[in-house]
Amino acid sequence: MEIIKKIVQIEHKRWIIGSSLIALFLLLPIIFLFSNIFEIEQSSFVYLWKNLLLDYSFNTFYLIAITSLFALLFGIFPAWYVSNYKFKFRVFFDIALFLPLAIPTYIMAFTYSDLLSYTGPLQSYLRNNYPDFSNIFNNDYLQIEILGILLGLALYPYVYTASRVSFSLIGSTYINMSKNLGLSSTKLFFKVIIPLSKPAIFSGLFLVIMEVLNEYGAVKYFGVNTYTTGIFRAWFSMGNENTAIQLACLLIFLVFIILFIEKLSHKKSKFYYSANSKIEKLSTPTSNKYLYIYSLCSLPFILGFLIPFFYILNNSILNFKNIDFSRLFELSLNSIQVSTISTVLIIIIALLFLYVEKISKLKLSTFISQVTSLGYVIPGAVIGLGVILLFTKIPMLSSYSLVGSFYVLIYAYVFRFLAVGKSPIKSSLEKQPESFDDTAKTLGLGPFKILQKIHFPINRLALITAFIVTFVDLLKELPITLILRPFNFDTLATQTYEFAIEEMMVESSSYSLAIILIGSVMLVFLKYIINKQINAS
Amino acid sequence: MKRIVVFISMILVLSSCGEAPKKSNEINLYSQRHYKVDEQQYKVFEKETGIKVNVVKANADELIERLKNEGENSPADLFITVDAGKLQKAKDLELLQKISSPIINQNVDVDLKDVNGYWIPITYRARIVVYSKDRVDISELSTYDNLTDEKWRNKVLVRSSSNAYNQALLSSIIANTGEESATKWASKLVKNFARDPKGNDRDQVKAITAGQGDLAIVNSYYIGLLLSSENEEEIKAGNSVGVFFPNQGEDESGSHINVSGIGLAKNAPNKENAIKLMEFLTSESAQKTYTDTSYEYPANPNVEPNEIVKKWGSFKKDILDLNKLGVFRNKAIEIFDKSDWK
Amino acid sequence: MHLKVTNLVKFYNKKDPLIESLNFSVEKGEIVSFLGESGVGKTTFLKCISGLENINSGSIVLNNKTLNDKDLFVRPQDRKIGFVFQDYPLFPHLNLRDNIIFNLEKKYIKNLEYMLSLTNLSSLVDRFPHELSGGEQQRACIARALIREPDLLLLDEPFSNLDVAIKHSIRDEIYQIIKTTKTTTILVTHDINDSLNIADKILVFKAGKLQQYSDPVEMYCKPANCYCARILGSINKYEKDGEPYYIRPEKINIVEESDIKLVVEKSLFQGKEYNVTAKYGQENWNLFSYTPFKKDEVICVSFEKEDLIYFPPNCLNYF
Repeated sequence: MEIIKKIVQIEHKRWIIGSSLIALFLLLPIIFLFSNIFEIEQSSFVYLWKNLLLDYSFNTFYLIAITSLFALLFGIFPAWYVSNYKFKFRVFFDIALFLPLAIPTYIMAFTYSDLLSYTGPLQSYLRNNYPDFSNIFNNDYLQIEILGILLGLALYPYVYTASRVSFSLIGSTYINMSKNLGLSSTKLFFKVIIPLSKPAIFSGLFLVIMEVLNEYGAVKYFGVNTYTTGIFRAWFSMGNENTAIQLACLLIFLVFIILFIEKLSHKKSKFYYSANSKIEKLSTPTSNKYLYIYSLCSLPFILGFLIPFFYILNNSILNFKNIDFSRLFELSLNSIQVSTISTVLIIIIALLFLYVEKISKLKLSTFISQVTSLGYVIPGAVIGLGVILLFTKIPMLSSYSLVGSFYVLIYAYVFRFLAVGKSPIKSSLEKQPESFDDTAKTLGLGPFKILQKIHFPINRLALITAFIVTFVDLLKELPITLILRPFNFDTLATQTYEFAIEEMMVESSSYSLAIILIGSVMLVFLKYIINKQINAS
Repeated sequence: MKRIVVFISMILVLSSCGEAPKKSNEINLYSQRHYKVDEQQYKVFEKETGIKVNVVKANADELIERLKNEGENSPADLFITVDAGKLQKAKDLELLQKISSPIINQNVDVDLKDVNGYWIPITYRARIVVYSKDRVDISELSTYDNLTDEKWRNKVLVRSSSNAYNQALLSSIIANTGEESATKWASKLVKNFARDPKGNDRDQVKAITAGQGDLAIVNSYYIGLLLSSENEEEIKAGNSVGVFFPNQGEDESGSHINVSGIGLAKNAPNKENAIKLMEFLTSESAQKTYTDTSYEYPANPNVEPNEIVKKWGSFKKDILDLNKLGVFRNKAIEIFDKSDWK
Repeated sequence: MHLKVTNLVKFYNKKDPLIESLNFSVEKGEIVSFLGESGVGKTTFLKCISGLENINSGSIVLNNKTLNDKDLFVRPQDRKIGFVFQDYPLFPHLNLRDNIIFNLEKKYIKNLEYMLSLTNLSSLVDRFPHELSGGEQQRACIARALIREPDLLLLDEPFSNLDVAIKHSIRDEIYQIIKTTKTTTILVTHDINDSLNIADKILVFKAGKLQQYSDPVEMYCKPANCYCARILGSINKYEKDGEPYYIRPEKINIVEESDIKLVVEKSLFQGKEYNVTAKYGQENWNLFSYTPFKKDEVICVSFEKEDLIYFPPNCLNYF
């Protein structure tokens, strides 16, 4: 009786039910995937264990380890200097270091393997001009370690951004205090700053790890067998759906563990930003330090953006007469169209979920909200698999022949990238005191109007950030698009991949260039408005 | 509220851009091939006949999954792959229907067709051995089996076992010599690898030039592509290797070949148009275009292969029923896993 | 009775209710100060009145309209109650004027000019919240609430965030604004001086119950129990005939000779006078003096019998 009374008393019933239904709808593919695992016979399990699992696991973890190492190296140190020291072009570097995010991981991998290959520019130049020297560079670059470095180069901006925020907020109070206590700069960095920044850095690293698990194009090319390539291989090459499903579930399980660790570290760290964290004056470095700082900040930018960008640009220019401009335009339009629609949907749904989480006092709402963020950590291949299974195995749905329709593609996109759109909006909403909502209520606004007149305008900046970040991510998306795209529908990403995997690097360059240009412009714009806000506050 | 309505209508309008095409004067292709030459061919066909060609590109297995799942409602007319084994798979899953066209029958080499008439070839190529001209004498080469000889320890380059070309090759070996012998071949060959399989066929050739190995197993047309590349270095690489067709001896099977082929979808909504396209693609003019652009061998026996290709000479083809490349496919994959060919 | 609260019960967990059956009423135009320590449930109380929280039982009637009882719950949007929160939440994306007229019904727009002059904000209408001082923000929130002619105004710790130096003047200003508009007000605070200075009635709240509800003078002179007495000022315990009596420090006179002797511990200089802490037997006493005394000095005091306050012995233990 008590419970029923409680249910009746629950406020905002409609909102909660609505959001729960949407959440359930989004989760269907994954639920379906898991439910299928019980129908699988034993022999598939055995095959998986005996032949493949060890190899996949080792490669996956090893790749994660190397990528993480380099993402940390490239991301943390420049972030420290940009946050705390004053030097010329500091603002430029802040934006530039962010740019590798515009380059999809698979493009980074293809570009460098081409660049460094025997017939590529580096070795050719050396062979023609310094033949004795050239042999040193004559190596097989398609190694897992090199791939790790390249992925680290493509993904370090996540760590960079997270560290940047953390270092700025920790502020000079700690620096000054530690100097007072006699710590040298190095000791200060490793004994005070890093431990305090651990949660933020780890959340950046978390994103890096998720991206590595999702990676398909690059790992396939480098011949590295991970869970994700295993899923593709089992499902498509071998027609062995069961093994694919098992691998997918295993991968989800692994991801849950990592997610759990991340949540734990987040809980412990609510203390670390002191209320008085003002961004104090930046220190001026000594003259020897200047060189050090410039090299440290330039390196990731040059390696992670400039070199790939100019290489691709060069290829495009050389190939200029062969560029099919109408197709390039068509695909650009496709990419932009589908990314925009999905992003808008994502923002709306994210805002809905976050708002329900805020206004309902139920723990259920928080749970629903978190669970829908899962899409980001589940690799695109798995989502694609789940979606296809869902829409073909359930009789009611399969009769509509939805697979291959635009709707299904967008559906998968929304599920996968919902978390990306949520994150900036969430941080912004959290900063708002509860009294805003309460005041609005006493001034006569119902929940929907509050969303419209208060939350929307106040969080405008966060909404723009969410839009840009989600859009760029969608622009680069590959595995889901490969699996679910409709008739006559290619995106810049799929076209780049298809040319590259056939080693038609020159032909792929104009498409890669389009992705990079669109992405860079948006990211620069984003950084610009973020910086404006940091300066204003 | 108004804004949301606007958004939703925008979504609906824009999403109608991706609709599956209706039954008008069109053909719908589910194709694994996506070379520039294919697009050119389709454009020519469209100009000549006014029939619009719609293409869905994906790899063969994905396309087969899709065909399977779409069932009766599938809008697909033609299924095009670069691997007879996949055509066999589609045939086996009852996704294809018989093709009857006297024109097509005349246009293609009878050895290359499906015995039951469910699919036809448009080009073929051989999986050959290329060798470093500097370090290997052609007299040292003979058969695929010979590659497992100890003298080639750490000298053999080949791409990953996950690639369909290798799987087809092994399938043909299983068909010709049996499972046990094929397993032995794979295991012994792995021991001769210069490195773990990575990259694609052209990478193997480049690796020979780079001195990382002496022999490579590649598809014939890649050499043609290297020799006609815009990149100086690639031409050099192409020139640094010699082309060898294995298994040419009297008692031997002939070099392994595979076809790019087309199957007619079981529920093809535009059957007549589809047959027209197939007739076009197997016609002499289209066949000449294929061989001159992609350096494959034409399926039409009346058409000469491209100059560069002709230079390699003629060779004995392995004329086993190409469907076997599909029948033994899963076995081949199993053997690859067992023999640790990555 | 403008506001009548009957048997209000509020708990988050049944065994430990926050508010146990509260009964009180407020006349139109009165300012009531709800006095209690931090964490005792003052903000919750306000939220219950305003409808931001639901009550477990009881009823709330305002201006002859039932806002809450066992059958009815009127949403906060529909109650004519103004609420000014502790953090003066002005919406950052709107300027001062837009904040004040936010979601304002047409019929109240005529009040704008008057409100602005009353709260002395006329020259600041185009500024944004981050460009205003704390005091200005607070007045803006009050203007925003009052412009709608609410039946009741609720203020949550309105003076806690202010510098001591300006507290007095702000208090006066707010008092003026409220009295001029004749708005019935409940203000919640933990600072006794706020209550004494501007409230018409004080409600002391502790341990989930109303301890005393009367005007400041009566509250001070005739506290209902030792807690009420303590909260309004310090009291000294004086035992007579085995019964505990209490006396306020300012009622104690220092004399040349008497039976009541104290041993001085400290004399703290307070500007106007010295606050002397001394021991009467085992008890710690507080009193005032114009001259300081040294430690361990013995002084004699006296006071009037009428000034003694009596509480039952278990009072102190209870609190």
